[in-house]
Amino acid sequence: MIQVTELSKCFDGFSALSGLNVHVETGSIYGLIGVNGSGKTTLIKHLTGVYMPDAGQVTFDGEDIYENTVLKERLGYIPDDLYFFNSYSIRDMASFYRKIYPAWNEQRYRDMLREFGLPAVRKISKFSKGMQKQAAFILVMSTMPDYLILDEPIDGLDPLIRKRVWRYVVSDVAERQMTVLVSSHNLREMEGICDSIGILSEGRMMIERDLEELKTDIHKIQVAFKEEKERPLSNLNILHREKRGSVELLIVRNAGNLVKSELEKEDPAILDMLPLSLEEIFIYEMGGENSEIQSILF
Amino acid sequence: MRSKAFYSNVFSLPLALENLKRFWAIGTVGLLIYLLSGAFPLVLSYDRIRPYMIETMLSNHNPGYMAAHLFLAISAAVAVFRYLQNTGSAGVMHAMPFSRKSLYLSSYASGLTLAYLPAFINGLVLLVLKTPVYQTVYVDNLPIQTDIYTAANVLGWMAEVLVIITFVYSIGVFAGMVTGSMVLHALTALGFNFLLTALYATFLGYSEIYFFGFTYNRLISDITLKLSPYTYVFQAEGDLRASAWPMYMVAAVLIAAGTYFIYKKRPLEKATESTVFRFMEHFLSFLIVFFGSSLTGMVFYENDYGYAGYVLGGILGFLVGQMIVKKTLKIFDLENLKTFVVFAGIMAVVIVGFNKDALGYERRIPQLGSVETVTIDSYDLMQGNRPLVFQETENVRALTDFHQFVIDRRETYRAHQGFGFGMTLTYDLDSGNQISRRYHLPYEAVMESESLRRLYESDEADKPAELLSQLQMADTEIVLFSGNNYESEQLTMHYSDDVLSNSAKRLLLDALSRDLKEMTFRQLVSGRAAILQLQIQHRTEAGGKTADAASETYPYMTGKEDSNYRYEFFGYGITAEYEHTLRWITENGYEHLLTATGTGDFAVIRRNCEAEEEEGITRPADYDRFTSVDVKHQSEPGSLVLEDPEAIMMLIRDHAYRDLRHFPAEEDALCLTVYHRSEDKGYGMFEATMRYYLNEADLPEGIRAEADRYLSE
Repeated sequence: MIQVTELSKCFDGFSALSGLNVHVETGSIYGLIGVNGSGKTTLIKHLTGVYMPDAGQVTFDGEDIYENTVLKERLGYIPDDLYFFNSYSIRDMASFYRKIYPAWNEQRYRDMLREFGLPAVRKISKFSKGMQKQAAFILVMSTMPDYLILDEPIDGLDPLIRKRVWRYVVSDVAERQMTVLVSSHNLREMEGICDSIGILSEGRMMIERDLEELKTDIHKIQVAFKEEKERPLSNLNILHREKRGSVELLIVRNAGNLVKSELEKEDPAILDMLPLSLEEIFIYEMGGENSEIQSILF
Repeated sequence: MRSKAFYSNVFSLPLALENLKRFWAIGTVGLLIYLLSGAFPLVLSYDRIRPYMIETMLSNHNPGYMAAHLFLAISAAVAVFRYLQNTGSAGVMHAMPFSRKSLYLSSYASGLTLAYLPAFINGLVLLVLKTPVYQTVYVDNLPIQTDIYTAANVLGWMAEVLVIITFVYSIGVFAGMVTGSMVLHALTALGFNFLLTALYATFLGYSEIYFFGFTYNRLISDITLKLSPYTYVFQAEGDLRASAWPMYMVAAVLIAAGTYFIYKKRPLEKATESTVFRFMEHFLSFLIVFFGSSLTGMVFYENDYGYAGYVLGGILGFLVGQMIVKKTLKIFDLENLKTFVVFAGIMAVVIVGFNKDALGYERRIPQLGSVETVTIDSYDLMQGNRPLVFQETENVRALTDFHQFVIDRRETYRAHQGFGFGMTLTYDLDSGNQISRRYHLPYEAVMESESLRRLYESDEADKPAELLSQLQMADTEIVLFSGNNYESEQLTMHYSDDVLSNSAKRLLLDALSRDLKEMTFRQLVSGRAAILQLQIQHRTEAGGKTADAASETYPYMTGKEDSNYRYEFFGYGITAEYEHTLRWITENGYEHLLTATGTGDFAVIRRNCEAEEEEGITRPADYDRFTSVDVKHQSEPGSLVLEDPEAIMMLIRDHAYRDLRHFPAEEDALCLTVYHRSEDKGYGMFEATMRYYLNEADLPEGIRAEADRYLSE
């Protein structure tokens, strides 16, 4: 489990992170969402032990990550700003990684190299940006990390490669209980891959939710009643209500069964339970369509 | 699988080896420089290796070697810590299973290995090439061939290079820790290694420009050079340097340890910025302003442009400095204006402080009671190349009186560039400190000084003369050189009494001593031309120690040097006032040295000093005070040629001054050039041997009449 507690960091008087809390369950994929400058990379550099916190703690299974070489041996990190030794090929880099990561898996390295189809002996600096990302992914995944931190990992990758990358990630999460934190500035990309999501804005965590729980508890309902009610649906936690003629659009946070039974009690003329996108869920969680989250994420 | 973190916390061998693999090219280039500068020329001349070549190489005076040391140390430091200067590499490297300690130590060690390995390999090559190369030294008068290309000497070189590279490299690493870009890292690595030397040189420049009486302080200079083994090798020799190796290694370790603590605090997010600590931004910026303003200012000041250069250099330095440290051309804002005002204020304090002598350097005269000894060192007032040392209260008071006299007239004397005396006054204080001042004073200021007269005619002024009577004749060599022909007489050969008995030598030195004691101050400063030179070399046993650089050695007198002895040299210009000495010379068969009877000797008298100018000697500023006659060539009318040796000698002995500076100011000068006819070069070819100046008013009537006749033609 990755736990960030009250993390703060200032750069020359500018507060990059302020009292930040993050909680990533073991064996889950956490999506860290935020626009450019929201503090994602700063948080990631704390998670990878690069930055020392001004205040707060960053722990992996209870152990502080900063200057912890034992933990770092189990940590894989692919930054947005990739770095390989000058003039090195994937083979050269693999040779170095092999010596410093005790869990290096040679078989996986060979398999991934074959599957991704990258030349092992060509200088990485001659690769395209997408190929360099793949090279970094092959190397990091071959270290068999228990924790994987990915900063904007699929930028520049074509859909086929993205799928392949996620397959490896999901497979390791499922098989080895690898814990993953992925950052992105686009919420849509995270839908369908993440178990939980945190939205970061101006160095603060705006919201952090488990996606399954979120999707189970929030419902978009289109409903029309035969007659007007004085205090309708007062037992439900209605996040948003919008009337379009006789039809009402409701966003409700309650258990699905409860919502349905409460609505049926009112004998509606129309009752439709509509699917909610992740974007909509967050918009309504944050207070509706006028919420600043729209400007942040979409 | 066993965790590798066990050693990754402190040192990572894989990372260190990887660095060597990554940056091998630096080492290869360094090795090539070493081989091309040393081993390669050695192989080419293997059958006739000159000792000088080996001596230069193994003493690190080979320019190629010194360039290689610097190149390797700086490049290795920049290369292995380059990962800190980029956000991507800094992030990835610190996310790897290394602690900052292991990253630092592994990088430091691999960089040092990279920097030193070529020197080590070069050392092995020199060992393989080793062959006896003999240099002649004299021990107890016996020439001994000593092999200077030994394994011990090569190993000593390897050890010294290790010290130099470790030190320079450590400063280079420190520079990388406080800067955020590779270019600035390289520049500061180089700059920090010579920062103190550059600061010292700049303050020296300020002092020379502004301080009346400023003299180069050897002690401070030595200390400045000793601050780095790289500069120290230019100053000291062999064993002296070896004794300093441990000190430099300890210093390098302390710098490296301090750098590690800076590394722990280094904000990695500052990578790609010029500097990673705020104070460094101001520090570097100010250094650029300081050096820019100082150098431009000094050049302008010397060319009479006043303070304009300081202002111009300061503004340019500030603009360039800010652009460098801020990595932007947009530097024109209020914050930078405030910084500029602060920097300008500091520079103004420095420059005005020097100009107005804020610390009282020019006016400082030590309290009488605090002076242990005071030394006057003046080429023009020396007897036997020995400065005069005084310690009696009355003499010290006389000297401080004279010093105060000079200080009171400093605004007049400051600009004096004409004829006069150079003089260094050095006070040794009871606190162990030393105060030295050097002045160039007008002739009259010295000649008419009653304080100096008292000093030079005091008993303490006789010490150099008394020293002569203490010399052991068996350890004394004496040579007489005629000033008027090419003749010389070596009275002693290799410290034996084959030519002259020790008792006869003793009589000569006693006569010399008596002349020195009887000489008045006015005679001393008269500047009369020497008729001949008397030179003495005296040796004393070095007491088991090899003579060091401080020992004065004049092997040219004997043509050899014996490392078991220390040598002292005394030289005297024998003028007509040295009556006892001249009498001894005449009575002991060396009278021919006092004549101008060399084959074809003749003198040319001209009414000016044209010859000096023809030879590139700058005419003194107040030359016109001494002659008003137009310059004429030797072959033109206006030259009076004397061929009578007796006439020539009479003129030299009674009427000549050794240079124009001493010539009495009231009269015009005649220039007397003694030529020696060289038969080897055929008829009509002559070589000037000596040049004297004649006081026209004091000339014998015959010569005056001749001169007037020639001049009127």
